[in-house]
Amino acid sequence: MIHYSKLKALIVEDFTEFARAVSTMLRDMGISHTDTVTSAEAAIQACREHKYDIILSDYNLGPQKDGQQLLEELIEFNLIKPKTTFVMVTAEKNAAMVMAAIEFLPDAYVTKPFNRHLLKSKLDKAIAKKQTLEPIKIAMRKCQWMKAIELCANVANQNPKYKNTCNQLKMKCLIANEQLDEAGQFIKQLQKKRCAPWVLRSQGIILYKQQELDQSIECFNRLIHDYPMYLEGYDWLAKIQHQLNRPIEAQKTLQKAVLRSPKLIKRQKLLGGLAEQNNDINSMTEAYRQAVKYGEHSVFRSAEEYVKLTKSIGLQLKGDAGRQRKTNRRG
Amino acid sequence: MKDDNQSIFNLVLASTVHDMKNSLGMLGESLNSIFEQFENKILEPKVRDHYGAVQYESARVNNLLMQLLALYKLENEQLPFNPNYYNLGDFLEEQSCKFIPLMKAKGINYQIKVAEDLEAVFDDNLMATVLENIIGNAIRYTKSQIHISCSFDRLLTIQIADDGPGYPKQMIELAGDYIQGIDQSTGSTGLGLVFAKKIAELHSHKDVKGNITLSNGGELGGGIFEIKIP
Repeated sequence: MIHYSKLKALIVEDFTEFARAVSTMLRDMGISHTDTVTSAEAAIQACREHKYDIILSDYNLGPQKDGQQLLEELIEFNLIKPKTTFVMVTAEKNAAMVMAAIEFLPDAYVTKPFNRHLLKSKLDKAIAKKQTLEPIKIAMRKCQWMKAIELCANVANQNPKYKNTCNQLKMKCLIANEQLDEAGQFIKQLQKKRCAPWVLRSQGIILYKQQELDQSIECFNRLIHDYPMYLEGYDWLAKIQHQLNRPIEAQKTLQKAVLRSPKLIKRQKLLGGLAEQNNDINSMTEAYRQAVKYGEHSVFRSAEEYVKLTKSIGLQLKGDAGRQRKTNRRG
Repeated sequence: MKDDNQSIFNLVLASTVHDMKNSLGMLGESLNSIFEQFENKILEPKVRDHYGAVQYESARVNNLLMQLLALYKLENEQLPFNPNYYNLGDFLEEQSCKFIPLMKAKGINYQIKVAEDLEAVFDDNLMATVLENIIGNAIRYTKSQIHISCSFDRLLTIQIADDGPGYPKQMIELAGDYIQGIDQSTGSTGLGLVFAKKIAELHSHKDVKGNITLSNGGELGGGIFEIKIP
């Protein structure tokens, strides 16, 4: 049972009519304190002044920061409590989902239109899950891996529903604690005909850490084949290909990922660097141009992409000038 | 040039659908607020029926819009297919939550039967659009009961059963060729079944295909819809 009356909520929504409807839904659930803002910038300010328990943010917030960038900034600058439940409101769930890097996932997604019953059901589940898993997360934040693993077993025993999440967290702890043999054993237990994406991902990482690079590549290839929208798989694959001195393959891999989601700046910068190494100046320019474009409202922007973009445009111009001179000479 | 036109159409279609969905959402929510003021009073059956009709029709338009957009993207190979592991209990509860006000108004009881820790791989967005249509239909045709259940035995089977008159014989006999059943004169286009079958097939894995079946009977004696995916 969740006591909503004690919770503070923030609604981030640029469509005021809709915000009013959501606010009424929250009030009907018993939440007495609800603030509404219409932009991510205002939301960041509100989070500096108040500590919210629930944040409901629309993904599309007009020309400035979007909901995902808001969440990234709130986490990066420690503006929300680890206990805060963040729900992303979207028109199309898939589109928003692939934009999120794995360390910045919201606690739940809810697709418009929705009614109070659906919102309550989503919040009930997200808050209950967060509360139940909280002790494990605290131990993990303190790097107390053995204690966290023990807690995973306890929580899973008492809540069969969270068994998979607990397995996932236990795997994270084993890898973080460099217990690679145990992690490998655990993977074997979890393997099924259809592995969950996180199982394939963990297996790939374990193999990578054990220096079994060919097997690791095979594993990440399977991951992106079975789950083409799980973009972290492409990042790992490109990283290994790059290490094996196959920069052209690595570039192709990352190009597949940015085709599905162009918004992650880190990925665009990696791609730009690879293209530079491969002397593919057009791709280099494109990647840094995207990094600049999507970085405009992001906390992860840096001078680097501007410098590199200028450099690549310079190279393009030089290339054109070179060709021009050749033509002239022939003429 | 053709590609340019297509991408403009794509954008217009997507944003129009988005706007229409927003409006429908507002419409539905306003209606629910009005209705909830009367919750403790006994409504005249006629008023209740009208309310139910508006609810049902707006949910139906919303769902048709989603299907239209998805089918268009599917034809142009632009439909993002994003399978993941989901808990079936949570997923099915969410699908029925969308219909609680409508079912209350029409006095329909619903039950969900599924193991608490059952998880499976599917695209929850697409599957939700399929089920929304099927549950909406069940609400339209049932007398008083809807059972939603789910089992896993090599294939994941989601079943929606009601105690209404069941599917017409000719529909069952189409056995998958639902595009044949589209009949503009009846007002029920059968688009939902065409869509459901496409989405089931999209969930094929290795050599195992996804499929849907229609039948009548069972515990409730009405129509039974099943979607099976590997």
